[in-house]
Amino acid sequence: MTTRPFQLFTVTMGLLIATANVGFALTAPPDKGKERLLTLFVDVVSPVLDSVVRVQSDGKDAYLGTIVSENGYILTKGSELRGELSCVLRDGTSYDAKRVGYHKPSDLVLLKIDTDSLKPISFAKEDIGIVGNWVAVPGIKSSEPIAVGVVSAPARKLYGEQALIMNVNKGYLGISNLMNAEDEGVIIKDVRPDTAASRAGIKVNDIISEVAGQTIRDREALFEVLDGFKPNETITVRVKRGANELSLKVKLGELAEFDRGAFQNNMGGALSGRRTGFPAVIQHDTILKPTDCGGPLVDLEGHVLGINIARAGRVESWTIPGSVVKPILKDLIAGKYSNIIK
Amino acid sequence: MALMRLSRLAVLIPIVLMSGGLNCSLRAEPTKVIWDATRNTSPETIEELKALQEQIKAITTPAIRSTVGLLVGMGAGSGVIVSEDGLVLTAAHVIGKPGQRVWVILSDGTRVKAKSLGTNAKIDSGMVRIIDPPPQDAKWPGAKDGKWPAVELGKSAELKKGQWVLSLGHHGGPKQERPPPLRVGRFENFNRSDVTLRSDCTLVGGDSGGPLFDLNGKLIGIHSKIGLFINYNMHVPIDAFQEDWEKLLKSEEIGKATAELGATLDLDEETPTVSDVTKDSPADKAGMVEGDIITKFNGEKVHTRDDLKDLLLQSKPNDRVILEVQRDGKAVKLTVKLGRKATKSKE
Repeated sequence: MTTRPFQLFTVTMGLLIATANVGFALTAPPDKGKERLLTLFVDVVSPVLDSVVRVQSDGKDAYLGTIVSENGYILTKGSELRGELSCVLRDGTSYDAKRVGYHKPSDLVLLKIDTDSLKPISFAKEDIGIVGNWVAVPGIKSSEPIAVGVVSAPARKLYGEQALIMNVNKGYLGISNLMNAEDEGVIIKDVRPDTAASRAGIKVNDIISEVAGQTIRDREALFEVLDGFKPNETITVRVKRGANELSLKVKLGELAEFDRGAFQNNMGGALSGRRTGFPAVIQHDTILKPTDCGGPLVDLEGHVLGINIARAGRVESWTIPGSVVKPILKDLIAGKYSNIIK
Repeated sequence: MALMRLSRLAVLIPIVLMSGGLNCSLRAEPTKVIWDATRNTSPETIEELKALQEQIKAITTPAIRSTVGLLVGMGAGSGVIVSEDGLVLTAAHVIGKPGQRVWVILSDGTRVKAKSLGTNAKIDSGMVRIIDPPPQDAKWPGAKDGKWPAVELGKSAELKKGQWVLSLGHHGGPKQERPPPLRVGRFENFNRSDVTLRSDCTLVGGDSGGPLFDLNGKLIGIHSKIGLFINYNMHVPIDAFQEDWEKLLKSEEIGKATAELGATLDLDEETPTVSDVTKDSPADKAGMVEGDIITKFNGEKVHTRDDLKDLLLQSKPNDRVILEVQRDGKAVKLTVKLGRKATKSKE
């Protein structure tokens, strides 16, 4: 039998949320779509190329970074940035970097390297993320950008679940609809079936008071503690149920196993771990790797629209607009935020 | 003095204009580059890319205005308004069946009431009608006269591989302060076997039922499903909607049997051979028995189980049909009054 390496059997899925509709189709690997456009952007991105750095943690590529001052300040994405940090410039020179401060809501971290001859970017004067405008993400290896796309939705605030700061690549418990119970912890109003929580015996109306030995006072505290654990790790959750208090052992799962939306969003490439809770985002359809976040987004006029902060889903990448970055940057330089990332 | 200056100016101006004209023809592009909406190749220059951008932006605003979110039960999908009297096209799997109560979320977040009309489950097409009038503060042309902002229908058969297309839809469900996000890509191909268009405009859950446009701003497809790869995004071709239009409008369920016979066929036999007859079913009442081989349906020859299924699909409950069966080597005619298939009430 002859082999057909390019013909794979893959799943096609209906795109309605919350109902099951699965079909099958024969599909082939991706073709080059928008990649043919990359060369057209060479002149567009050239003025900012020297302002992009590669941020590494413990010698591994973590994110891109954006140079924001001549004397060595660099903005990048903070979450999951651990260990010894360094920044590699376009010419190949590598500098040790230290964390100056971390602004958790925006997930922006300010790094400093010891030099004074850098070329900083300057953000566009106003928010000009106009729907339909072509945008590009410059990298550090090529004169062509890494990816191009169009602005999908203008700068907006995030609401509901998207406004909560959490790392979705963390271990997944399977509880939702959470409410703060005054001074007691967090009341669970929904336990999803077949999840870590339901298997461990967590029930609706249980009040979580402690996770992994840490007292839980509100939802934010709960997310913060849960952020520190990965799928398959086992943690102890203390809950109040009526007059009783129980200690339950929970083996954490993965969101994508249980959530149809999360599953579909993971079809087509890896996503950023932290992809919620930002103060504002411009949405574009550029296909970015999570490790290519942290750099600038440029339009066809060469305007820098903001800093790419997340690969947020199959169809979307997010950029924090320059107008939102600027005051945060000022505060970061002024030392208003601690440099601890958690 | 003043006059002279003016006249001197008058002499000067044409010269300036002329030299300007010369400048243009010698150094720069003499005319503005326009993007041909049906072009199926990549832009070659930055000017062409800008022209493509201008063409995209020229059609985006009305396209966004006509794109809606649909809430049906616990599900959330998308749709697009295609007539001034409030018809919305969507995917069959978004609405499920006719007569469903639907909330339509306009691009500014306003909610209006609607109900589902027909579906074609086989190709995943569906139709919805908005019941409420346009909101008082609606700003689109004709809103005051009760008209909805409709998009024009294109012809999906005329699409060429590589042609640029736009996609809109409320992925993840409608979100506060977020108009339906735009995605740009290229038409890949038409798959005849499952009646789908494929593009590299990325889609995800919640986009179902949302519109795919050509660069003239005409509707050419409705989002249906995705594959594992990022460039596998499938849409129901608009031409397929056109074929079913009257039926969808009449709330018919195409591709879904509603008429029932009440006989089970032997799956090991290619010819429709009855293996069981449900008690008191239309088949039972007509005198059908186990072992009957169905050979004719209203005079039309039936060769396979699929032939019979297709004919049943086209029938309606309470239709009287004459079946000819082979029983012990003899042809027997049976008159069957078809029943109604029990519909699952589960969403």
